[in-house]
Amino acid sequence: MDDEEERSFRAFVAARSPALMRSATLLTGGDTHAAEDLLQTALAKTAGRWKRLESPEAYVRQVLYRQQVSLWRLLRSHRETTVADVAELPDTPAREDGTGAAELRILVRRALARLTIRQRAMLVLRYFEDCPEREVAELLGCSVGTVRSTTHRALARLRTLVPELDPAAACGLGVGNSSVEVRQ
Amino acid sequence: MNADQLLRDTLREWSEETSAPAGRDLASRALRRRRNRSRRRIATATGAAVLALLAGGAAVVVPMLEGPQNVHLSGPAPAPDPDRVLAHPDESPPRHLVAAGDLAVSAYRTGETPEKAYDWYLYDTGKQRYEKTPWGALDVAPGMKAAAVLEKTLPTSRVGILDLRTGKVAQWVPLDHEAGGVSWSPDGTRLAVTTYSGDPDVEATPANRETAPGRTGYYVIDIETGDKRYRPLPASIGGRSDLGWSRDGTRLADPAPTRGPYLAYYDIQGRPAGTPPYEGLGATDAGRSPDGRYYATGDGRTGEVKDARTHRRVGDGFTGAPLAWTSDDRLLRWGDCGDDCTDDRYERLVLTDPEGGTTVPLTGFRASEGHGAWEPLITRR
Repeated sequence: MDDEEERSFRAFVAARSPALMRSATLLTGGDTHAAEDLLQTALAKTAGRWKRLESPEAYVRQVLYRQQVSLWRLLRSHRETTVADVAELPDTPAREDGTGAAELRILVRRALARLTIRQRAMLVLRYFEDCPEREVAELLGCSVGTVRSTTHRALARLRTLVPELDPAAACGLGVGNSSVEVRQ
Repeated sequence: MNADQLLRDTLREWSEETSAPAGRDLASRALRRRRNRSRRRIATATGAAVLALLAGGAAVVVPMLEGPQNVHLSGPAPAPDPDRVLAHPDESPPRHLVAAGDLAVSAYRTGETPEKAYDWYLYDTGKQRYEKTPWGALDVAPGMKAAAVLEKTLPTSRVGILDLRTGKVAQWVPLDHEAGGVSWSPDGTRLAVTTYSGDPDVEATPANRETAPGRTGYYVIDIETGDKRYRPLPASIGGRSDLGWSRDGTRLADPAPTRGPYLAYYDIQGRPAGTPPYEGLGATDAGRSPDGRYYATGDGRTGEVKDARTHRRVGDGFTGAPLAWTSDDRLLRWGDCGDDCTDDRYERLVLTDPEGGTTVPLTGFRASEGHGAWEPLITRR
């Protein structure tokens, strides 16, 4: 990397690191230290290919997600767990009043942090980055079938952790079913 | 508020609370880490390393099913000229045969339309062009004399062995469990037939994700003996995830195991088996060159050729997934659209040398998805 390339790389990092850090933080379930480390690793790889990259942001995001899922593969031999230290969920569900939605989001956030890294990566890609299934599959280097099955399991796990998301428990509240409304 | 929106809002709200890292410092640390980085590369994953029937093995298929009903396909195929390249760089999808060495685009699938079955086009040796077929799914056997076909609408309760010389089904194999996908073993002696509870090509939407058709199991059918073994698989949610074969044909590759890694391998008896060399995660459809000197790696979008002895990269990396080695030093891969990309002009099949110095376009550019998109089936001639 020559001086000019290094300048452009630094400018890219300065401009895009806030947005990239947001994705990394979601991927790590809110662990900002792990997120920064993840982003730094992805940026180091990006620097190595800098002059050949047509779309640095697309590349760094791809590395970000793949690196995280790769980490998942290492961790899963020890048990499916998350890297974030997450408080236990409260026993009481969200109240059905004006504060219900905010409380529900907190419950969902905690539940997201308790998913496996791979499950969370799928949901972040689908629901935060708005990637179609095929793009998720290409990004993570797996089949569309795997994207679907992992997303399905992630949503099922969310429903277990937040019973209010379960259609049966909440009279028709279903993640993935846009036609059904959440009670508030 | 619906639950999808709740999930989106939660993620957005959470992300907005994230404090930005120290920008300049982050760049410096990344550059330092880059300079200090070990040469060892972390293997990246690739998805569709499973279904290609590209490598190794004999190429003559003579299906002989169920004893007295043995089938003998007509006439030997003409031997392909390994040096001959048949390219049609202005055709997408191709109308005329695309081939390089002893590999050819034997068929292709068009479109990717939700709730509509794909259309399959097969190369017709008589008409010398690809012709639209009525089949719901198919796979061409090595040698391009026969294809295994499934009727629309999927899933279906029989698999046909189509004689490509006559265009007629030479044999129907009845199935107790309805099938949605077929895959020939690399030596053309066995079929892996994946069974589904519904049409696997119907996209799972948010509304039907829970009830979308899933995989139910698979058959391994020995074409020579007629032996047919069925093994159930745990229920899965919707979408196509056909079983394929390892390159040496000794194992079955499962692209969507319900447990374990992204890609699982089973032996022919259905027992868990290890990942073969140069296959599995981090590998590509192309794998190792015939003489073993090179191997292709990739992440689904980009690729590299490496020297198998030193593991050093040969030439520059490239954009486009490696698909197959047509000879010791010719790689068939997707080639990118350079500076002139649109959704309708996404990538094309190209033939390159390991260094990437010479690139020969074989087809026109396909679209990234939907109308204008097509997926080739590459088969040994």
